[in-house]
Amino acid sequence: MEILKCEGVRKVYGSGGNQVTALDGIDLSVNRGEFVAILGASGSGKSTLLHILGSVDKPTAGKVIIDGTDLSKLNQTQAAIFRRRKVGLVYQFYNLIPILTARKNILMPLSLDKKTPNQEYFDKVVKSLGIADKLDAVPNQLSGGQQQRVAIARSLIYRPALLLADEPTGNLDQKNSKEVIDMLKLSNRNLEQTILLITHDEKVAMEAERIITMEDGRIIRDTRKR
Amino acid sequence: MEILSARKLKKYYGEGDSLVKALDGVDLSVEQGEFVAVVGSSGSGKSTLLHMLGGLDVPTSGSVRAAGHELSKLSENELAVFRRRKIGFVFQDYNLLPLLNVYENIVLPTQLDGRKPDRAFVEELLKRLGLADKQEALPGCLSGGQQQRVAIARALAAKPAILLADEPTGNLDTRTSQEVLGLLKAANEYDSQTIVMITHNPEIAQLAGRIIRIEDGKIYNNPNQRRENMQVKV
Amino acid sequence: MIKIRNKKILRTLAGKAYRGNLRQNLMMILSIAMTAFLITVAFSLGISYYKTVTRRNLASEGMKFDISLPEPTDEQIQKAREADGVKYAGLAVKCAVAGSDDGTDRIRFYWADEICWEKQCRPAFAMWEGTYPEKENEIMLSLRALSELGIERPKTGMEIPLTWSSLSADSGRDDCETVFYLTGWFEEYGSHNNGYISKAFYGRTGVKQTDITNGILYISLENPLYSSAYVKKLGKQIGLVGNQVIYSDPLLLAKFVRLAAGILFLTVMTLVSGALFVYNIFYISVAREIRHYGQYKTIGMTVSQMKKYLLWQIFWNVLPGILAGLSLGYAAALRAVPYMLGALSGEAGMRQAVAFPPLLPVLASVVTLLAVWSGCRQLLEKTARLTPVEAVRFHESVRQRKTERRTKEFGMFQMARWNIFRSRKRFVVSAASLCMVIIVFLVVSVILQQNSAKAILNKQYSYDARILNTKLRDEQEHVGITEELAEQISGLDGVKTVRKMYSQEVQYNYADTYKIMRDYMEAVYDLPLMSEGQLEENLAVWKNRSPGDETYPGQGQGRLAGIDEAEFDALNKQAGGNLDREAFFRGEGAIAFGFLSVSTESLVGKELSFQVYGQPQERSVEVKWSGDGIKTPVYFTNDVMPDLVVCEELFRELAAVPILELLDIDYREAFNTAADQAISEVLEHHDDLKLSTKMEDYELLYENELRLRVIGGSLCAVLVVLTFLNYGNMMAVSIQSRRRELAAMQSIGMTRSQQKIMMAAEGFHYALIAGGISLAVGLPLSYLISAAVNTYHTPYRLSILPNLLFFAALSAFCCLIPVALYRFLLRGRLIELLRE
Repeated sequence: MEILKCEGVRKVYGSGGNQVTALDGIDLSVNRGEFVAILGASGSGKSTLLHILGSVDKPTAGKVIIDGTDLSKLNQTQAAIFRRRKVGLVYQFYNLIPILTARKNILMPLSLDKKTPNQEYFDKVVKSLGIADKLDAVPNQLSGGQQQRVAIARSLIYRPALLLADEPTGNLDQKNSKEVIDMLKLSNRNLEQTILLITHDEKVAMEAERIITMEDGRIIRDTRKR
Repeated sequence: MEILSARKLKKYYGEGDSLVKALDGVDLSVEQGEFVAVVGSSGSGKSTLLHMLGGLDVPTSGSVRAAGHELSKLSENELAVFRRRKIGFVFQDYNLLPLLNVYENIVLPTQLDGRKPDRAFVEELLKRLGLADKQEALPGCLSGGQQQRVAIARALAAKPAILLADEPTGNLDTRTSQEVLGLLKAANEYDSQTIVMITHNPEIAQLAGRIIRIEDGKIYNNPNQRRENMQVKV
Repeated sequence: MIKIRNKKILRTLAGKAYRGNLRQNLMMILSIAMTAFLITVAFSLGISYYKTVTRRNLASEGMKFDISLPEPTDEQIQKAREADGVKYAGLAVKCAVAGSDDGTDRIRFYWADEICWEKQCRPAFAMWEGTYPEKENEIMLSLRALSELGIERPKTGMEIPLTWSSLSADSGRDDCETVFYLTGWFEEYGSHNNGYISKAFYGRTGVKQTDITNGILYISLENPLYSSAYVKKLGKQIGLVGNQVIYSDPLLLAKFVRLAAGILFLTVMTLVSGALFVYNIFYISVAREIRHYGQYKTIGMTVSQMKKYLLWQIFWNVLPGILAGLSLGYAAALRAVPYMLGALSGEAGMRQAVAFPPLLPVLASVVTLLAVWSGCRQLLEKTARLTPVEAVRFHESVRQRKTERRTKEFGMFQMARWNIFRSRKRFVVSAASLCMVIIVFLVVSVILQQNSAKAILNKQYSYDARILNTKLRDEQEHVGITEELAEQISGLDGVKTVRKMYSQEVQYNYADTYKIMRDYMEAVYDLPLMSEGQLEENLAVWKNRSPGDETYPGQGQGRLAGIDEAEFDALNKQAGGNLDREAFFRGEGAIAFGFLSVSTESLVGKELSFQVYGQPQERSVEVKWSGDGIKTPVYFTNDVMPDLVVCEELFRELAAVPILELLDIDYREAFNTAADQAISEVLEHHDDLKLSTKMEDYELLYENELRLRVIGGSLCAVLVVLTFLNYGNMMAVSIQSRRRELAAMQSIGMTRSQQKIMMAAEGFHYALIAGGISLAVGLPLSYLISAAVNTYHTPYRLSILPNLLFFAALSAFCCLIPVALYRFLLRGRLIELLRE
């Protein structure tokens, strides 16, 4: 079942001589349950694409439909609510709110909607990410890897349609990197979570089952692992 | 000649349930002219160790002897003076002062010491580091690699006894990383600069003459074991 | 070690840092300037007030002294000079007058001894020239006197012919003509017309220093803030005789305390506000720069170098701040102080001096520096001593939350709470400055209430209007107020009750009553204003008085008064309801009111017999109650005898003709000018009746009240501005530093509206907490301070509505400011915020 569709998505900055085309016509289709890596060097447009998919930015042209919702039709507030419920975002830095404990950070999206958490699901996510004993710590008491795992837990708590991860392991050492990728794979398998992983690191991209390569704002390759 | 040594170094944070043992009894010895790499994953205590070695922080117990000074015996001010005369620091995020230009950044430790900077030496350094035309530039105008080179110049300008580097290439791309590492290596080989470098990347660690592994606040192999010099792919 | 180069680098670095942090530095200059400004005005006000009052004394007396003793004997002068605490005592004797006959422009001739002249006369002059007269015909005159004699440019040795007469009791006031020679002239502050003559001339007049009203010993004390107890003690030391009394101001100390309390309160509030503001800004600057400080420390800056680096930046704020504040304070004082003086001293038209002694800016600077110092000191120390690692790892200390079992949900309000407690320091400083302004408003509102015209008048007047039978004093039978008139008045619109009081003169028989009255009389003649031997004298006169003797002073005359129920209730209210109403109105006895609050307890239970004016036979009445503690209702009292107050019925029985002394009128609503007017019209043709109303004094008092409102309002306004600058600054920085975090929250789905609610909630919490603390601290504080400055002894009252409105407005601002700042600081699109 198709969960993400991009049609002719373009993003252009500036005007006249200073014009920069970040995305030059992206057509993309992702089905539910896929684990996709978007590989590209810096300047390839992958971050821009992520922002557009996360409804944080609007394309200059083209359509983006996630789980049946056309993103261009959302105003600022609606986009925020959409992000809350339908899209999980994990960045490279600055994911967590420094004054809240890990537990509260994870529950944040639910609280914004004034919803009570499903204790069972919460425990499951937390356990599978291996942070059950760190729930009462504040971010600056956790290592980089632990922080990222908390961020992932937060992005999963709402069972979003799409989990977008932007270089989630960029700031981590090898051991932690591997952990994080494994966690993502786990949630993809066990929770049927659709994941889009942006990276410049080929080794990381190889962990996904589908690799989309981008260069100069275009998709140049779309391969599936067998 | 031993230039740096640590004995039974411990650094604990917090207490009771939240006790964190950043360093849990570290012994270390570095000879003058060595290039040592300290390797460990995040949270292993390597940065903490570097802080202790440079007199940036005070251990919970244990002693550090650097460049002939017993650091625990120095007062706050004496440590500051010690740092500006004997230690050169290169950190992961450049640590340059944004309000000062390249030249001013480089000579700042000397000026704090009340001494006149050796202008000729500094210019030689800048040339060697490929920054000759950037003397008046502010850090904001420089790329990451250039900033890191300025940091190295600042570290070397004081002709320190020991150069301490903490993930010096962490924020740089592959090509610039290689440049920077090359400069460090050159300083070690041609000027016999003692270098202690922290990294989490075992490949980078290969550049050093000796690798020390640290994990969970402890050293994991015999610190006095030496490796043979390996040819490094530059 | 070459230290010189050392300093220069620190100054250079500080300069760069200063320029990079310009907005915060400008804020600090502003706050220091405001502090200096307020302190300058407060001090100027205090000093000006003190000088004005002092000058007023000089003007009214013409001399510089603290207390005075009239008609001193040589012995007394000697004793005074030797007494403890006396700096010097100078004698001046008024011995002659010269000039016109109608007494208006007469020049009074004084002889002043050396001490008096040098130490007490001269300092009271605006200017003086020449020498003190030595020869019999020499004289020194005031410029005013000279100009009235037609001499505009006096010269030494000028001939001044004057017609004068001695003030000696014996000389009989004959006029003498003498040509005087001018030895000097002077200018006074007051409107006296004094001339000074030689000792020889003084001798010629024959006046003695002990002559009534002529000789005065002016005493200057070591401690100008003397107490009544001291004056009493001094009187005993000197040995006063007869009617002698030392003239002093019994309220001097009280007045000074009031002034000091007021100025102190202002100063302390300003100091604390200033210190808080400075601290807050400094903390913000440090928090922003702390990573750089860490870098400095890493590369080897020592603690003292760090301190110098920071101190340079503070100095560059302190200097312009203080200069600006002092200058503005001076400018404001020139205009504001005379205005304020008018209100504080309660007298318009007094020549008011704005004092700005050179000491004042020095003092103001010192206090301002104190504020800055207390704001910066601790933080400076801490920052300088920070280890590089601590600096680099700086996070505003995050509170540890205790373990929670259940995963609870949380909303905007809760997050707001966590946010404001994020940094304990920031929270305390901001809450404290909000508390400050709320407390000041509270205290000021109470003081204004105390000093409001209505409050004062309500305290001083026991009636709204009073009609007095003025002729009753001299003509015992004058019926000024008739029953019909009383009826008429009570029928007027707005009049609630008319209280009637009848009174009549009575004569006590010595033989019958002295025994009973003895204790009372001895108490009366023990009063300080009574002189020795007067009791015996008066008793002798009283004893020898025969019935029908009309001589005055007659001794033994008292007053009998009769009151109605309304008046009784008013008295009973003062007595706390302790008087027996029924017994009183059954005519069982009288309430006795003593002379000048002397106790009449000794008379209770005794029967007093007297002769009522116009009645031959003696009547008697039992004193059932003592009027101690209650103000006597009787207007015309006779001499020292107690006033006896009985019920109307009993009065009619005892007195032949019940004559109304006065009518006390209570309105339905106080301060009813229409009612005043109506009564006044009714009384139009009654020349023998005098109407006095509360409203008469209202105008003047109201003007005072207005002035005080302006002062209080201005003070509050300045503090409010200071507070909101502080609050706004703190909020701006807090939001700015959270931009990343807020953007992250938006990216995971928090709407901007939710974030705005969170901002408002933060402000709301601040207001609420500040309000709670202010109430707890402010109420008792307002009580203490208002008691210290309570001139008129009006009751403590908190006007709730203004305070509530103020708090509501304050809360609104507290909520709105963060929201406004949020909208300004997080303007951009989310993508831009994330990209930073």
